[in-house]
Amino acid sequence: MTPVEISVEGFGPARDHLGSTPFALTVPEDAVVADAMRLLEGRNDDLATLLPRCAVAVGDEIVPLTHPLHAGDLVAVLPPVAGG
Amino acid sequence: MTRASAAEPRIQEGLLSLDALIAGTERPDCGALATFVGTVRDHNEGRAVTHLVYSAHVPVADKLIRAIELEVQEAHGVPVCRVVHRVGRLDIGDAAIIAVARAPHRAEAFDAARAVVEAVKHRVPIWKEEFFPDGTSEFVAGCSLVEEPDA
Repeated sequence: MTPVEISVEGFGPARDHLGSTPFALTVPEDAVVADAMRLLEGRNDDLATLLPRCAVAVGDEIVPLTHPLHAGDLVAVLPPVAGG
Repeated sequence: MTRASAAEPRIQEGLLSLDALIAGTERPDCGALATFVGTVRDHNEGRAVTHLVYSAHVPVADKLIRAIELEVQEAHGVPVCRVVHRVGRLDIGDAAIIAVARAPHRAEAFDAARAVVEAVKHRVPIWKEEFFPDGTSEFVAGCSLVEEPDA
């Protein structure tokens, strides 16, 4: 199977770990959101602690961990929110 | 006076205008207008705060705020409910969020205004970073979007 490239962008406190601009991540062809999260968890311990409390959006939609990923998807990591 | 149309972005970088939101939501069948303005406070949890920086996932936040407005309108039986939230650097006293609800009578308008603000605070991808007099900053601990708000 051919790996596919997606883009990942961190928001809020996740920017401290993922940077403030989207970066490329290569995932297997049949990967779902959970697979991408596992790859990110390996980057550092603080991120691994934060990720289980993060929602994920693809485009303008919040998606479940089972959501399939496709080449070119922009995956946003959304930590706990505090508006208002 | 400027009027805020229904298509107006819910996440904005410039100063928020309550006047525009009021002017843009006038209804002859509503005798009650409830408004809420959340402003930047100079302290939080015993610590002085110099300013805030709000950020958002704008496409998701805009879409969710619109969905929450409709949900609150339906739940509280009010014909108008509208919220805008500011992002970027905000100084003490600046408005971070403004909400209006219009209803035939005051009880529903008050309830809807409160409900829509609570929902936006807890369910929309917006982050608040507090800056302190020593130059350091911290993100305010928030609500996880992967857990049910009432769980």
